[in-house]
Amino acid sequence: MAITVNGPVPDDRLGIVAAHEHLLYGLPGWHDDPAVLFDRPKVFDALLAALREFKAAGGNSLMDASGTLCGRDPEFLKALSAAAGINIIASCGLGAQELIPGYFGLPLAERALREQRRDGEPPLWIPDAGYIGGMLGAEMSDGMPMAGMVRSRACAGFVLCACSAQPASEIEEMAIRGAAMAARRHDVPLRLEGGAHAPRLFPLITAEGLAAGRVVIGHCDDARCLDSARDRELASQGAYVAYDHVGWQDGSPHAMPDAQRVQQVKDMVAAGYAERVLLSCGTVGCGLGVPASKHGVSHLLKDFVPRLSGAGVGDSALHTLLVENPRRLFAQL
Amino acid sequence: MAHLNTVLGTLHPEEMGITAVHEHILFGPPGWEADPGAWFKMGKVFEKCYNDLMDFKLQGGATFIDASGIGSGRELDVHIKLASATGLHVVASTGFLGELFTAPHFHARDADYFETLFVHELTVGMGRTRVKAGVINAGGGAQPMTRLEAAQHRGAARAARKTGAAVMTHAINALDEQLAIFREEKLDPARIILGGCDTRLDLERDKRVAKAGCYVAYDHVGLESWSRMAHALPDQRRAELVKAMLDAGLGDRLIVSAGSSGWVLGQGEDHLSNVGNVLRYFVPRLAAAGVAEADVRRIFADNPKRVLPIQ
Repeated sequence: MAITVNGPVPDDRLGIVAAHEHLLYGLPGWHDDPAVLFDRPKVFDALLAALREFKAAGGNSLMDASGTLCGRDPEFLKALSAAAGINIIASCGLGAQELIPGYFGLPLAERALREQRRDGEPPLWIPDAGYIGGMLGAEMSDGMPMAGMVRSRACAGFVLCACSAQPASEIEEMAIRGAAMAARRHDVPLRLEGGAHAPRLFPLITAEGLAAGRVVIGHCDDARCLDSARDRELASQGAYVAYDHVGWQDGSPHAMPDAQRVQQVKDMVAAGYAERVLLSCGTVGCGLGVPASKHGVSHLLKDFVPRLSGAGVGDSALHTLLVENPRRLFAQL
Repeated sequence: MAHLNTVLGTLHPEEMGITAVHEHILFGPPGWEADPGAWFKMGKVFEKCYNDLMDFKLQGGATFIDASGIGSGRELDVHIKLASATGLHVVASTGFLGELFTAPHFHARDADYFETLFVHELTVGMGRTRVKAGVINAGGGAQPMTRLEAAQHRGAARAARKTGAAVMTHAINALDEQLAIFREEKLDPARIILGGCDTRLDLERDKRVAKAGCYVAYDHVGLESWSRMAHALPDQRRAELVKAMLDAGLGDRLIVSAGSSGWVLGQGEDHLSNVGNVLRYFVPRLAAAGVAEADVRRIFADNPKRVLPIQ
């Protein structure tokens, strides 16, 4: 069962799933910038067209990975999903430290400062992993928060977490452990962004009791951190390895030619891990103060899948990658 | 012509009266909206803020400067409604209070970006509104300043020169770096309010910067031993600082305010202090310390009237 923005959908009805996309994406605070234009109806039309194209190419469902903070708008996604006839599974979670605003980080910094100076008392409220776990969990059970201090009726369907510091900063570790707690409690998938840090962080996630089969390691096709041995190792432990920037071929540090991604997929299939691979384009449909991607979500089915076929990946393997794997990710374990 | 931008429109400086230069209606670092645990009952909080502002007004106050800046609790719909409900002149501000109070969207930006942003907020409107900011904040928490905080200070200085607005700082521990940036950008010291001079005490520093033309703000009045903050201080000490500055002949460069918050986002009522108490308790304390009535008027009305309006 997957919790979409318009309610539960049985996992065997999800069909072809794009496992990592951003319909709306902006860094926290974008709405305070007068230079960022958000023409809501125009954006809606553009995204609707992209989703219809995805549907016409055979797509059925999409996992939106913008998380709690990065431009997610639950009511917008509800209306878009209904209009396009595409299941949208929204996410909650805080992301890497550079995406986490001061509300979460300031109390930690203040505590550290006062310990260092040995004066004053720590702030009354300081977040910890359990707090963040509870906060994210409520997005799955009670609905996603919206502007204006109200919850949408739409619930998040998976949790995401990320790490950019080496080692993970205090706030990142908190957000990762909290995400794992929430995913376990609500029996939903967890997506960890950043292949490079995955070997270190994967144990942190499973230590919270989350089954490996609920964990997706995203960004494994980031040109800066390709590692086929790592991918096989994570897959052998039961996690899903996501090649989820298909179509990002130039103009960005994580970009590389899709031909390399074809090779990654072929290698995993040849190594017997077809059942542990997820695919997606990682598009930014509407960039709120960040550039949108040049390609749309349908690139996966219209361009990349034919390439895979041409490279010898058979239909049954393709079905496993696009339908069976996401179905299993959301199925009751 | 010199004027003050309030959330309800522009004001002649002579209309300002007793002014609280550094206060907050709602205050807290960005991101609290995402956590329902930090949500509050708007009606209840509005009533509390209304009572605080009304109390200040009944004590003789006329103008209230909200120094929350971009993303740190500046909720203009609340400001506007409070201004019209109380009859106080409420001024909202642009600028940032330092890196941890700056939302991630603004992290990778440079001084040019901040200059443009602040000028827009002062001359066109804050955010997507047509409500103009009245003053520019510049802050920092770390020492030394981060790259971002330095860029924000530089942008603030340039925007101040371009628009004629004043800059109000919130990081006395980074004073030397702040002043160096302001000097480089050729910002007139008479357009600078140095906030937080009562969070790290140094009377000689205060005299030095005041002699150079900057305004020295003792802007945490009321933050006494009840507070968990490291810079809590008996008000008597603040009164002594004021007296010492006056005795040194620097009364034209003094600002006194409470730095109060009507509501603290994410930390409940922990940090709350009351803007009205400055007039209710601190002014009598100044009188008891030997401060003349004319000097009280100077600190709370004449100095704000000189420094705050857009030139």
